[in-house]
Amino acid sequence: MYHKSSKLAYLLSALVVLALLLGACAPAATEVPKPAATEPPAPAATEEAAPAATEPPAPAQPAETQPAEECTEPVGITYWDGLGAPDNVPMGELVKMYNETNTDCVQVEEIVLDWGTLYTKLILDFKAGNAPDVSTMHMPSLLQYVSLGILKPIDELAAKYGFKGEDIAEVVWDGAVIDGKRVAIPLDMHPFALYYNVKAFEAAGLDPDKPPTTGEEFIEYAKKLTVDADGDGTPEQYGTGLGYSGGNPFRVWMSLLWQHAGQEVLNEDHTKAAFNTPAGIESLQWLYDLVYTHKVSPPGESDPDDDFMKGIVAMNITGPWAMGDYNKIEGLEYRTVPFPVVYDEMAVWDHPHMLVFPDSGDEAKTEAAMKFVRWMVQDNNWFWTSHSGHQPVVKAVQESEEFKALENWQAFTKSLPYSNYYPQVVKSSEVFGREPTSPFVIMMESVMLDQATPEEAIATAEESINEILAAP
Amino acid sequence: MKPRYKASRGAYLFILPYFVLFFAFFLIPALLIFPVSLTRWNLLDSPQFVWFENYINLFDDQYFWKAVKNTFYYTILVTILLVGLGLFLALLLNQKLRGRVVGRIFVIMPYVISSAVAGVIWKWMYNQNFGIINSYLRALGLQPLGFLTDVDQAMPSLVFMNAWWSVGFNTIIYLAALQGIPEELFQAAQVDGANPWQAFRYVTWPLLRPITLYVTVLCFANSFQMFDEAYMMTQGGPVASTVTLVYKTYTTAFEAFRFGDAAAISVITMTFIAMITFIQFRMARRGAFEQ
Repeated sequence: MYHKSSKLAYLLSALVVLALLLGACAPAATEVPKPAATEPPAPAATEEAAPAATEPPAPAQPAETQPAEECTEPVGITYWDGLGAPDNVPMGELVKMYNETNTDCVQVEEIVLDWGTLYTKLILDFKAGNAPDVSTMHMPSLLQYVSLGILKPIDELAAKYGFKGEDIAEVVWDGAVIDGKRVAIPLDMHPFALYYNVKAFEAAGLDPDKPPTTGEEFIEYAKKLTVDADGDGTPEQYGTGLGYSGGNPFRVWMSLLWQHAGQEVLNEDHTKAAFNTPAGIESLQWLYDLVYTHKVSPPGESDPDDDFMKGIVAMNITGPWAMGDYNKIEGLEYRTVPFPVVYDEMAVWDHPHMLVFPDSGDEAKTEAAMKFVRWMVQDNNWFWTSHSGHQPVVKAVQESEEFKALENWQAFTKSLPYSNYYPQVVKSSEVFGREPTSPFVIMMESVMLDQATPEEAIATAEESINEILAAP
Repeated sequence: MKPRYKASRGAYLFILPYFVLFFAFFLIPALLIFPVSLTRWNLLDSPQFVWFENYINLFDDQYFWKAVKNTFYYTILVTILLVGLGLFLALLLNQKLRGRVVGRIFVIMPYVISSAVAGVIWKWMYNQNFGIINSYLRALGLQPLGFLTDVDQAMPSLVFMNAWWSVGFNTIIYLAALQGIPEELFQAAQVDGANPWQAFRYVTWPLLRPITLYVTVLCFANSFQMFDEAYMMTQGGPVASTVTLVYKTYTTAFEAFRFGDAAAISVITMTFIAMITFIQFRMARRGAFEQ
């Protein structure tokens, strides 16, 4: 008896120790790897994607190529790349090409991160003194990172390495200037457009040469493309993908909001939300109706890109990065057309990629980073455009015949004059975040999962965003 | 006294590495959250002292209250399920059945993988389009379920995953306790004409009571700090239905860079756990006296 209970006591105490060590039944908050990148599957225009992808059209006057000096010890720089799945592939190729061929005596170490991690880690690593020498960043985030003191002004370096305003698309060239100082070099632009499945159009008796251009047409087409052949009430093919979570749904909503003349997301001085208006509600209702009234988009759709590739949806609104994934699908014949004009005027969301130079405190490395960026943007914008799907920023590439020959790129090019961007705010990542806890994501989820009316959801988002903007 | 101290010096040396890490990465940061919770701090600028402003703001934050609600919902479901299922499996595996050794191994096996890995596995199993569970549902002619994409199903789906992953721990504790119950007591009960239910009700259950309290406290305190599942599987969605207090602490600190507010949420979380653990210990003491 004594023996038995002492054995039990021993076993129990061993278990208690084990419990303390392992953190017991529910997982304690241990270090966990960041979930896979959430940026919409970016494009890796593979061979079949990019026609004549490697023949650069007269590169924008390459800046003075410096005489190949004896390179005994290359300057090693760190480059953070936030590009997601498909478009980080051509980016990796570019880095490899540069490392193998450059005469700048620079070696680039590319670190691939998802956007959410990049934006967080940039602050943490800057604080720890480990900021990268160059990093990707979206144009609307610049103000936030300038205000945190992380980004270095680069006016002189940019001029030294031959960057000139007249060579680069104006909107992004000027957009890279904060408080009169240049803090970034533009890499590309990527507005939304409408993708459509040619075979699905033909099967529905629609002319693929006449895709929808207005809101009414879009709904009319979507209805014809919604097919429930077995009559079980669940269509095998829906008219359009839309999704309910992440960045894309609220960016589509925001595009519709901007299509109302004079309508903005925030007030003029960016201190308060300005989207809780009839225009904002109407736009949200329009998207809700696609799913629940017209029933042309799947309810609770988690991955519209995947659905488009599988033929579950016949149209999809997304950015040019999606081409990279779509091109890998054998038998998927698709085309692109600008986002339909649903309200007063054409307007569409865009989110240009920039290259920034965090203040690493090492001038030599920043200069080496600029050499790399010069090579990537001035000399290889064609490679990047043709392989990633994104729109070029170098005017010579934009105007080249080779670029105009890339058919599916043209819908995005036509949309550029109507591009709208998130307003620059110091709290950019909180206001425009695409994590499930971000205000616009919650707004879209509430409506698209039929948990709240557009009026309620928009009021909740307005309240959250006003709180964020008001917080010191 | 002196020789006694000498004798234990070696022991202190052995636990030293753990204590260094415990102090550096657990105790000191845990204590620091109190002063940090009284500041406004974005990590890059110097912290500004704001008294209790962060706490006051939290009371107005609708998502803070949602996180409190979600955390209690998760914790209560997990605790009931893990304690109940743990006991049930322990009783089953305590029977003299064939294959019980294999059964014991299977029950504890998931627990040896990390919760992050378990999260990834289940994220795929739950996937609406490619998930194995929905593929079977479809094969049976049923509608697929939106486990992680449905507002009402997301949290129960996380609870279920946690039960699969960690029930083995409670099972083992219960099993050890069951094996410590003297056989004579059951024989005596049998002599008195007790049926198996009565034997459980009047012999096993009362003797397991301290263990039940122990696993309940442990489960409660641990599941109250749930983070990994939400982080790996839902990131707090959909419609913030799986944002727990610890997940909100994380997003407030590392997405919004409001470390003061994040520290305030941590302090409140800690207070909740301390209060509930205290109540449970009081109950445990009362239970002990009754015996």
